[in-house]
Amino acid sequence: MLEAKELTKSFGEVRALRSLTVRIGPGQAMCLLGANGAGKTTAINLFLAFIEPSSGSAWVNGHDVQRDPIGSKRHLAYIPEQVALYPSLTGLENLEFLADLSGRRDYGTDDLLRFLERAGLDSLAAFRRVSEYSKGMRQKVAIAAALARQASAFLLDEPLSGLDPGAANDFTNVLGDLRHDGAAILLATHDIFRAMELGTTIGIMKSGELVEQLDPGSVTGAELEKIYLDHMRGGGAGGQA
Amino acid sequence: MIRAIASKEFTQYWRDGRVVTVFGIVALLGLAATVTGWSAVSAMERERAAAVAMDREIWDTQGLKNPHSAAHFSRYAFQPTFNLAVFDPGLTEYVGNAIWLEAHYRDPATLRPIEDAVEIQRIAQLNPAWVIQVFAPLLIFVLLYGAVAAERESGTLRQLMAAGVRPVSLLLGKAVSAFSLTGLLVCGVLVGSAFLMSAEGIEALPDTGLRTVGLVVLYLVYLAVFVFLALGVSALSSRSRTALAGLLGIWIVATVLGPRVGPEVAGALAPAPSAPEFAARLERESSDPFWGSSEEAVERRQRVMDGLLAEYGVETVAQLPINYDGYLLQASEEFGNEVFDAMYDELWGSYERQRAIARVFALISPTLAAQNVSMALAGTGIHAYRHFADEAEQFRREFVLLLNQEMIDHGGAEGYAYVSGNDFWEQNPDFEYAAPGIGAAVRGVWGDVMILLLWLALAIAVAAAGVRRGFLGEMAA
Repeated sequence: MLEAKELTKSFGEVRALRSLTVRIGPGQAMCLLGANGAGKTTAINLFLAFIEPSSGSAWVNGHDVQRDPIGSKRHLAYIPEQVALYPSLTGLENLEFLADLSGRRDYGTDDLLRFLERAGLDSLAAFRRVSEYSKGMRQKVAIAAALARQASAFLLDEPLSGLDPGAANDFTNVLGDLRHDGAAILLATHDIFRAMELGTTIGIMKSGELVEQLDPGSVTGAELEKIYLDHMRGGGAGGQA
Repeated sequence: MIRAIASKEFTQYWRDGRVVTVFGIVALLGLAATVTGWSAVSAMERERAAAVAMDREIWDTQGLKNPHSAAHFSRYAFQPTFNLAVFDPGLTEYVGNAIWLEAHYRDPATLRPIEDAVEIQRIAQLNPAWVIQVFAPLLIFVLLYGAVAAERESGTLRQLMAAGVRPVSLLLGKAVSAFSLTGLLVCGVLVGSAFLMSAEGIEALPDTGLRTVGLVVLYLVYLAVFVFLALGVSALSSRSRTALAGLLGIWIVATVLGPRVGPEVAGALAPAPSAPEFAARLERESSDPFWGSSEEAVERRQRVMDGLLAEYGVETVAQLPINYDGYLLQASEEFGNEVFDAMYDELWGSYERQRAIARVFALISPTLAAQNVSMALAGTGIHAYRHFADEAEQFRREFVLLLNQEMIDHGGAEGYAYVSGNDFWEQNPDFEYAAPGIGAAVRGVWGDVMILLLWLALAIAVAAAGVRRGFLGEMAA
């Protein structure tokens, strides 16, 4: 579970995030839409305890991320836009290392290959060096690492940017499976249609503020796009909560 | 977590052609240095054994001669080149390994192997200790320049942080991997040296086992200094290339400039007398005040004679039951010994002042401090040489006394005409050198040990602060 209570972050005079209050339970996915600088990444960095909030708090599975950053990270998986792996290691070796870091040394090669397969990476590719991987393949390794560490909360920062439609579809499907298996997901994205596909809640952010929350079942893609654009152009809410 | 990071680093090292190449070159250099060190020590020991035998034979067969004249004909004290010189020859090549044991004179050592070397060989003295002192830090820097900076550049540092890796875990994981790899190299060179050191014909230093353990500890501390320095610089640098440039600068100052500039500056600030100048002064101050024609010298000789006549209760030298010339010669010997003690104390003092000044440079070069400790443990430093020189001098005094006593006791009125034969020379003892134990060996280098430990503490502090700052910087990014 991911929870933010009145989470606020200011950098000097600039308020990057204003009183964000959200609760993403198991099996729920919240997709944050917003322009660059809207506060999406700041929210994710606060959940990761990379930065300290000016006020408010963030919680992961009941752990206050500031007071217990290591405990909260034990439940977290973080997938940035560019997944960074070690290029001289194979996908399998990268996964083994990431699993090791989370204290899971008990996995054998077969277990790790199963995680990679579940993330959509075939076993032949698993034995190739990551220097030969596409962006989509690297993201699959990151998903496999999250599966290996049995993360129950996912923070994804624009992971769909730059993926070809096929890879984006595969990635969304894997995330959908994770959500069905009980994961709590917070996804920052610009892709309205993938957000509709994956999210149980759509949040629109503007100038550090969560200006609207929508149920994707209650709007069409076109309506969501219009609502989003209205917000971006400075207009008020046009959709339903 | 530390084990996982270290294990991953090893795999990356193995796959990085540059690391494998540099490691291979340093390992080959270490191997070559060990073999050449063993070869050089073996050759020196063979030459010494031959020289000792020849010296004995010449002495024993010199035929009829006045004992004091024989004291001028003299013998040599040869310093053994001990087993640990295979690993660190230190000053062996520079200070000489034979001292001429002459009456009325304390000789500095001669037969310096370096005098037979051409200039280029002086520069290219290859030995295992030097390879470790100079190239192991370079290997560490090649392994670690990107330790934190490259993780930051590639984005993996952020991933590690998100996975809950603490700064201390990253620091120790990286340190363990580089330390293990270079430690393996050091242990390999030391084991190789130990194997060759045990070869027949090479004399073992007292406490060789303890000294070897001391060398292992010394070089592990030395490597740790450079490991943590590299991690600190990598963490504080914005890019791995910047870190590499900074580390190469540190390497040049620490291993190349420091050990050369330090002793040069020390020599300039606290100059020791030149060898000819010192020898001339030694002769002048030990001889003229006793044998000269000055009033002081005449009075000194008169006092010796008066004392002796009073001791035997006679009025003239002719009435003495002993050989007066021999007695006077021994008296001049004892006068000269006091002069030698004072002048050599002054000379050693100037060397100590130079060492103290050079030690200041160890504050910018841990290599300089490590070199001093390494030489002390290997029994090849200045203190080991001084011990040998002092022991040789002690033997010289006893040997000259033995010869003078022969003339005093048996010369009677014959004076300088008295001669001894081969049967007497054959009874004369050889110089047997016993090197000091490890306690005496390290007594003079505690300052260097402390400086090395200071370097280690400083390097750890820089690394810890750097990695922490690196994490904080990445968080704020």
